[in-house]
Amino acid sequence: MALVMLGASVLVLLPRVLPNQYWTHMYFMVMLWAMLASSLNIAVGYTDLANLSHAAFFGMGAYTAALLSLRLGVPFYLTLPAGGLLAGAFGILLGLPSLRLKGMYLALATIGFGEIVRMVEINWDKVTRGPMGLPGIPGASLFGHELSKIGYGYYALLLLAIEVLVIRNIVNSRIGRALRAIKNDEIAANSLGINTTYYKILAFVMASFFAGCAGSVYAHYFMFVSPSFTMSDSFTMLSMVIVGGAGTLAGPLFGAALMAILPELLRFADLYRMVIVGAIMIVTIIVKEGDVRQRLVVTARRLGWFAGRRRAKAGEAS
Amino acid sequence: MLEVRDVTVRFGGLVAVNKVSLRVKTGSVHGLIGPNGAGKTTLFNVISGMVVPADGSVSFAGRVTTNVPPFRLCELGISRTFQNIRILGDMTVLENVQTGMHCRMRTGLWDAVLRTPFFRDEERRTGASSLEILEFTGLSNFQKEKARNLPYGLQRRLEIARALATGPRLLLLDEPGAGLNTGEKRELQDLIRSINKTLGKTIILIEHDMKLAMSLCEEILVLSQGDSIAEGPPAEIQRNPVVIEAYLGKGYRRAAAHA
Repeated sequence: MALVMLGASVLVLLPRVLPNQYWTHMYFMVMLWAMLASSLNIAVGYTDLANLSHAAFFGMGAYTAALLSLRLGVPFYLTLPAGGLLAGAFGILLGLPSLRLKGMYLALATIGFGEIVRMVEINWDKVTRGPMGLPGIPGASLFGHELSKIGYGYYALLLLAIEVLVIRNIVNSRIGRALRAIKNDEIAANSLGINTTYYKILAFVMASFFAGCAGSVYAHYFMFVSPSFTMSDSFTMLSMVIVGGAGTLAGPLFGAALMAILPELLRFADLYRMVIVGAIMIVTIIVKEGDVRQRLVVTARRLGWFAGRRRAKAGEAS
Repeated sequence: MLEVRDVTVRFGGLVAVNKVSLRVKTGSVHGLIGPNGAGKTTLFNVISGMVVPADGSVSFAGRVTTNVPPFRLCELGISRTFQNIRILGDMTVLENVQTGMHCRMRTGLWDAVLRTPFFRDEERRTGASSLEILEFTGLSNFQKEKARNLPYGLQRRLEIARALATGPRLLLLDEPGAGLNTGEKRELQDLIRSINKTLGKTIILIEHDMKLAMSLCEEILVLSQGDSIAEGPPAEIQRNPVVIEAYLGKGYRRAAAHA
């Protein structure tokens, strides 16, 4: 609990001390990625449903927000739930293949779904203006005041906090236990009176809903939306979940921070930047279980492999 | 309470269960025995809704349940354990039992998200009764333990505890004694007896351990290669030549005759 409070206060104070606009932007991006990774975690982490189309739902939310505010002048605080609800509704559609497919096959089906969404965005000229995208989306403003860059950071932080709280409450309830039971053993879950069909679809819907909300935040921040929500974004979200620790509350947050900031910090390494990122990912993923704290400890121990080994040997000998 | 009528299950060309009928009275312990591959577990799968039979019908508490999915049957009051344990390994012992109460709980999404008084109250009540069930099954010392980390015998016990948590009227136990040592089997026997006598649950039991089956069951149905070959009280079954042949082959009878 103390750790949570500390983390929260650091996050609240951080934008005040960030050196420049660039880092303020990075702060916002980390919050946005964290929203996406946390929501993906509902399906991938807690329920063990492969999903490689999360970016598509993010995009749906962004397009919904863009169109509503451009065409109808809907304010940002209403495009937020609208984006979420539309994405959530399409989440039902994505949930359907999950009733028959598992693992790799489900992953492929979701990739297909994501591509279809992107094709619609590119080709539905009349509505989306295709590859030209939708520019000039009004920014978020409250009582006539445009949100500043820092303001957007706080807006995203607030939404992230709400999202994490909601996920926490769901996970620690009858519903969360049902999702985790499906992850552990679907047949057993069904025999225990859990309507697995309903809960698998619900997992997709909840994940998609939050991704759609994040889409609205994105649209008003960048004021421009185009068919840029690709499979590679979905993979980024997935790796954030997995690197941080799937099925834990804090995991996707750490994963998002790490995967978003690390490439920036490593800019000095030039060509080798992504190689280093990749290597760090591999080391973290090898430690595939447990929450963030356990992972950090085990990773550190792995990196100090020899020291640990020698000590273990000495222990055996004595 | 339960009536299985002429149930037939086919897997491709193989007839796993052939026109088997079974009647189980409320409050009884009914045994289901037979050599490997006799179709005992398949019959369980039919009763618990996991397999839809090609022919025949199942009715439970006066209702035809042949096509009812497992989670609904659980709501109606049929609960089961599995031959190869299916505990929820990642979750704690207590969570396993709480998950079993799922179908007796009414908390919705909004209750959970908003932590309404209804949610709190229900969590408190089910938490307390989960602890009671752990107490009853002798697992209360392990409630915070991850289910995966329990020793094998206790995992079997946990599966029974979890099945009890669903509030069943009929409990299907698929080889609860498999892999247990003599001491554990004796404890299991006491547990099953008290589930039947104290909690008043009707039980159908698949068991290879004859001593266990004979001492617990009032009535036994013997299956062999999908066919129902004998039915009756344990003492009769023990003496039935057809049963002995199915289990031990013809040679045994000859050997017994010589002796």
